[in-house]
Amino acid sequence: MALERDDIDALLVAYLDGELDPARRQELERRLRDDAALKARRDALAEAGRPLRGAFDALLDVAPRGRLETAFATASATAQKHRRFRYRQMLAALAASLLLLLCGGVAGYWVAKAPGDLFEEADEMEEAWVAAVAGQLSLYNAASLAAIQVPSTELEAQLAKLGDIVGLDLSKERVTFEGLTLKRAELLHFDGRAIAELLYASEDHGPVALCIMAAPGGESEGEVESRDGLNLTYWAKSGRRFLLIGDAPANKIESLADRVASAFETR
Amino acid sequence: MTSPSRDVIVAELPALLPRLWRYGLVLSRDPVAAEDLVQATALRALERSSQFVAGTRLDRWLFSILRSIWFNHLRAQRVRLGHGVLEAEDVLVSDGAAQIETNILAGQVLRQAMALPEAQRETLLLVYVEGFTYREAAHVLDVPIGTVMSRLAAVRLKLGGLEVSATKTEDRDVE
Repeated sequence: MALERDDIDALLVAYLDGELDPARRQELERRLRDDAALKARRDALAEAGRPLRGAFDALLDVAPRGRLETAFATASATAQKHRRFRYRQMLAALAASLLLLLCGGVAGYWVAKAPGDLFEEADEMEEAWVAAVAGQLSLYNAASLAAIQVPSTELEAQLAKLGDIVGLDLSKERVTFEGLTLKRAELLHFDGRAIAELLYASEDHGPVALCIMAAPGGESEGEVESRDGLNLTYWAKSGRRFLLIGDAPANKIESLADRVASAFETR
Repeated sequence: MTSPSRDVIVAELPALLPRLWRYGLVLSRDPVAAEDLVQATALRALERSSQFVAGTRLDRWLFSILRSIWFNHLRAQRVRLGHGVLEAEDVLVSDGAAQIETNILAGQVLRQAMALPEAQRETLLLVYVEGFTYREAAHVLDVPIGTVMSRLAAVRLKLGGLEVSATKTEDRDVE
C-alpha cells in the first residue's frame, strides 16, 4: 500500500484521535511496530496536538461574560416582541388562506391587509408578509397542487400581467426551473402591496412558491430558515422583495434560491 | 405561548454563552463580531425553538446556527462593506477590545492556531476543543470525513513545525 506522505500524516492523526476503524488501526499499528520513522512521525504529530485544548480553554476565561449575558437578554426581549407580533399576523394569514380555498384556488385574488400601525419597523413588515405567505403555503400539499390545472396559454397570460404589475419580465422561460412545474401564477396583496406568487409542484418534494413584491428598500441577502414545517429564504434586490418557500429540504431551497436570484440578476 | 424546547433553551443557553463566543471568535477573529454573533444566535434559537429536538444536544444545535449566521450573513456583509475578513495581525491592532485581544493572543499556541486558515481553525476547534467526532464535524462543516482528516493533519503539521508539503494548504480528501 503506497500512500502519499499527506495521506500517512492524515492516517496517523486519525489514529491519534481514535478515529480509525479497527481494520485500519490494526494495519497501522503493525506498521508502527516495524517502522521507526513512522513511529517518530506519529510522536511528533501527537506532540503538536497536545497543547491545543488548553490554549483554547484560555479563551473561555477572557470571554466578556457580562456583555454576553446582556446580549442574551436583548435577544430574549426581541424574540418575545416578534412572537407576539407573529401570532397576530398568523391569525390574519390563516383566515385569508381559508377564504382563498373556499373561493377556489385557480384565479384566487387574495387580500390580507394588516393594520398599518403594526408595522413599526421595516423588519416587522418583512416578518409579517413572510409569515402570511408561509401560513398560506402550509395549507397546500402535493395533492392540492395536482388538482390545479391551468392551460399553458392562460398561465403565460397571467405571467405577463403579473410581470407588468411588479415591473419585471416574468416570461415563462425566466420562471422555469429544473425539477419544478409551474402550476399557477396569481396576484396577491399584502398591506396594499402587490405580490406575484408563482406556485410550483416539485418533482421530489412538496409545493414551492416564489413570491415577488415590488417594494422600495435596501438590498439584503437571504439565508434559509424554517417556518411552519417549510423552508424559506427571502432577499431584496433592485426594489423587489423575493421570497422562496417550499416543502423541500433547506439545501434544495438554498440552491433553488441561487438559481432564482441569478435568473433575475440580468434584464 | 411557551414550548418545552423554548424552556430548555432559555434555561441552558446562558451557560453556553462563553463557548459560543469562542466559536464566533475563532470564525471571525474579532471579539466584537463574536459578541454580535452570539446575540444573533440567541435570537434565532429563541425564535426557532420549535426546531430544537428535546433530548438532543443544545450546544451542537446552537453551533450550527452560529455558523450559518456567520457564513450566510455576517461574513458576507463584512466582505461587502470592504472590511474583508480579518487577518490575524489585524486582530492585534483593531480597536475597541485591545485588552481582551492582548489576553487572547498571549499564548503562543493560540496565536499560531488563530493564524491558521479559516477552515483549519474551525475544524480544529470543533474536534480538538469541542470534542466533535470526525463524523459530527464533517456533518456540521458539510465536507467529507477525509477533508476533516486532512485539515487536522495540516493543523498538527503547522503547529508542530513539521514538514508541510505544498498540497497541505488546500483541502484534500483522504480515504
